[in-house]
Amino acid sequence: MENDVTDHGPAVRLSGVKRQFGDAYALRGIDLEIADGEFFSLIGPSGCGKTTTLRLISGLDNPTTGSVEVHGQPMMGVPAHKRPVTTVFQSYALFPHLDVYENVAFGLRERKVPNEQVREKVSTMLELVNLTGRNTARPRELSGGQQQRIALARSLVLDPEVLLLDEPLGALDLRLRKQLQGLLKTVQREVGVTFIYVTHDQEEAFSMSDRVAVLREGLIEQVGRPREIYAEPQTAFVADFVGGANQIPVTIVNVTAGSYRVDAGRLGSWTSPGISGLQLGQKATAIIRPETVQVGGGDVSVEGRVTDLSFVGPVMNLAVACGELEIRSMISGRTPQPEEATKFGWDAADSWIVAAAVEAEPA
Amino acid sequence: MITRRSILVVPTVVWAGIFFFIPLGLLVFYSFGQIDIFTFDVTWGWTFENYQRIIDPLYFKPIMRGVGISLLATALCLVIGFPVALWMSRLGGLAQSLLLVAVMVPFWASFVVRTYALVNLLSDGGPVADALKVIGIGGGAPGIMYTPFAVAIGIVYSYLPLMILPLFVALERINPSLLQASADLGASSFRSFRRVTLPLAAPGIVAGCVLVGIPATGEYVIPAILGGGKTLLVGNVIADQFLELGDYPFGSALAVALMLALMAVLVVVRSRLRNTEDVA
Repeated sequence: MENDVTDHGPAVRLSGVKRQFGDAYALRGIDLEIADGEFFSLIGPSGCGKTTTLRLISGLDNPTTGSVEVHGQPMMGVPAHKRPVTTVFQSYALFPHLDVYENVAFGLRERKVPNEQVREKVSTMLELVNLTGRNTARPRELSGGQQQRIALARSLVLDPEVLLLDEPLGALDLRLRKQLQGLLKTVQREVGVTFIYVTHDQEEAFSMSDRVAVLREGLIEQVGRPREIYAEPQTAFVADFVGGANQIPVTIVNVTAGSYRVDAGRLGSWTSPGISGLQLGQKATAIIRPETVQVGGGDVSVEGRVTDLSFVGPVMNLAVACGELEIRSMISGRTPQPEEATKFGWDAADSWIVAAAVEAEPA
Repeated sequence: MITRRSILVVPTVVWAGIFFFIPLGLLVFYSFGQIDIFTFDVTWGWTFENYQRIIDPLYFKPIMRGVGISLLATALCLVIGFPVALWMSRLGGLAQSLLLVAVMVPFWASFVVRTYALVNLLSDGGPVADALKVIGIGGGAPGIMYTPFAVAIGIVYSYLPLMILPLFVALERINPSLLQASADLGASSFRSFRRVTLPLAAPGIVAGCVLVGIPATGEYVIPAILGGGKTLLVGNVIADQFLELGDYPFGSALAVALMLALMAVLVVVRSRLRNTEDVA
């Protein structure tokens, strides 16, 4: 797995990739370019095709149609063991019959690397993942976090052109997950290898990634930098999946450059930015982030009754009933009492208009 | 310590004591005795003469040949059983259940009857001989019946399920993601088999070889039927001492020696297995 990249294509290019299992489509046409050295995340609910996408890149599975390229090299017909790509599996998949050292050395042995170099590379890698002095331990003697770090070292030691990570932190507790997120980011910066990271945890993806793709039922809904995706989601689904959002049905009553005037019935009317291409008179959805809904604040205000209150640490989560609509809010500071009628509001500029939510076609 | 619960083991202890330990004790006792070759009277004594006779080439050569046949049959079981077990372990659902039943079905028919069925298959003019003649092997040559080969076939046939089942259990337990990881790290499917499947199946291989090898070494019925008295395994040599020659002391010494040898093998295997279990 030499890192001599003569072709200056993107690290990974997927063109028109479809994957069919019987009658069901796991992927319904994916086009994606991932740049060299990028930390790229695929997020989406389970069954959206993110793991399938990884498997097509690693060669553990093949597309029904479409092509996969790694640095411009077509991967069609190249078996997994010959691809310049390695994977960190969700279940770690460490070899139980080998100790830590031999687990990390596994791929190097396959490449017939001389013993001396194996020793050097393995110890460098174990240092990089902060796991030294456990060379002779068996995987099952280690904690989940340690096992995952060995899995990372085992894949990285081969200098892959691309490292695929399939929900690597999924089985760990929150504190450990945060700690390992930091480690992953540091390691990625240090080795400069392209990381493609699969997770269903939007926060995790956002905190680590250069770019993120949101998948839904085998299609990409949106690709972009985390901030973009959060602030300017292209669909109601994306808005809801990343960070959760109040979705208020509205009608477009005026279109001006870069913004729309919307009418939300009894919630009133306001002007805010949104995706391009919406038409006058069209049904649309106003996305309002819970954290922008504040007690008594904002230039769009509504009267509501608190129906649910939950304490989640730094903030309170509130549900407010406004007619049939339930609006969620995140507030800190003084909180109203349950059943208390209160004035809530948000700034028109903080809302974002997208096309009315449609159910995805059945796969 | 006698508790109320330990009363439950009394029937087992009594049964084992009367029908297992007493005969075994007699056997050990006999093995140090002497026999009058004319009157068949056994004189008790403490002589090692019977044990010394074991290494007499007259007995030792057929004994070792018998051991060789058992080892060969065990090896054949492993070679034939492994691919079957591997295949079964990769199947799922109904197909796997059906195959498991198919492997065990022969146990539901009498062992002796099945061995006699093999006689019809293997004897001259039988289907196996005919088939061999068609492909041009052994035309006119004496058949395979009553040869060591027939005995080996009989053992493989009868004991194969005992090899397949532990192999299957070991192979089925291997997490498929380990093979994916191995491929991902650059190992071809052959290399993955060598470096992942085989070492992880080691406990199953050992268990299968013990389950087949040990009873095969003492096997009595199969050589009696298929070997026609010409190919003797250790079990037959022992039985002959008792039933044909009436030499109880020597027969006992052979039995005790066989038992000790097999126990030694088991102890070694168990300790080796503990090391691999550490691993699995």
